[in-house]
Amino acid sequence: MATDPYETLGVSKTASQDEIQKAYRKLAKKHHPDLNPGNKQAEEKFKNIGTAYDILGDPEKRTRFDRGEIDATGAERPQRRYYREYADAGSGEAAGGYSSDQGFADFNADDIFSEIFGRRGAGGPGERGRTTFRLRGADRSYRLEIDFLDAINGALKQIALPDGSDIKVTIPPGTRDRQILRLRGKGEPGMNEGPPGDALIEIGVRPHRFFSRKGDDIHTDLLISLGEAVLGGKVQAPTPTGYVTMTVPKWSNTGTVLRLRGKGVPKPDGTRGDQFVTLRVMLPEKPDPELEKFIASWNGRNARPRQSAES
Amino acid sequence: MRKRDFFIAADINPQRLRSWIEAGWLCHGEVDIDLQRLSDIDLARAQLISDLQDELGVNDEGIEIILDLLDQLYGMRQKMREIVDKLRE
Repeated sequence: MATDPYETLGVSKTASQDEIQKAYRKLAKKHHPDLNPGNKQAEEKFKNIGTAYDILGDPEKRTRFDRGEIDATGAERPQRRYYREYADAGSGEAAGGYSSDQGFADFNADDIFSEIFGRRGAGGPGERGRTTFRLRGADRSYRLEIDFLDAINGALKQIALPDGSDIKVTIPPGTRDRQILRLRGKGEPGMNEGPPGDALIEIGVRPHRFFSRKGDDIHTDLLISLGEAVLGGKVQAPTPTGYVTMTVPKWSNTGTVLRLRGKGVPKPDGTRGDQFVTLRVMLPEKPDPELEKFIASWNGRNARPRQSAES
Repeated sequence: MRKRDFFIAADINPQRLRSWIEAGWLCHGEVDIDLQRLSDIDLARAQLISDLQDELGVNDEGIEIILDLLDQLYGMRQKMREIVDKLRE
């Protein structure tokens, strides 16, 4: 059994080529058979030193030895072939028959594959099985920005596609911001007569100047005059479907909320949410001497609505 | 690889091989098989078993599970490759 050539020469694994040569020469001189006529072991040792130097003295062989490609006698070491090289090569027969289909037996895999690839070999040699593999097309995603009122009332929109065609999109009434509409069959075409994919359209709803939406209800502010606030009256209030007449009760203050039943967002069941109108009292735009005169003589002018905050 | 080199490299003796075949890990449990007629894949598989036992410290139950899962994995890779090849055509 050959020993480690580094050990034989008495050098470290990191020794330089010079050091190896020096060590070899020193040992070779000491153990040369002709210089040791009476020492039987010298010949054996000298051979070993020579073998070790054959490997380590040649930088290329030394590297190969360090990598384990050759052994201490310089013979090629068998290169290991790993199991996967066989198991992963070619078909089941060639792979030694170890591979198993237990991992997908419940897919009824052979049926699926024969469905995909056609009946292979059914028509004898030379004739390929016809491919009956049908694949559904991929879905395509789009984003569409629409106006607030279109989202509430519904609308018909178009999306222009890069290829010049377009998709018509029906916005159902009551569509929410970030809702995704699915248009069946408007995605990528399928393969081999497979069904096309769907178009997925994410709706973005732009904010409105004075309407806002909370759930199925619409909220809005409404300006009323001092007269309307004090005496009450009928006012025109905007709703998503147009103006409606609304009765402002006598003595309505800023912050009073009135409900317009059924004037909110359409719901899938056909009913609608409500609209809530928050009143805001506005003084006349221009100073009114008559009003000033009246207030100055008005008994209630020194009322202090901030009382609770001041105390 | 020559069989002798293989046995030396893998440090496997015939008794171990026999016990693996009896356990059903090799040669599909054909206990009467002539060890000289083992194919290259049998030898590579034996070396894998040897690695699992000696180097990785897996016990016998573990080896059984690992081999079973590996066989399934290679089976699936096989099928996947067939699909991919077909799709490329």
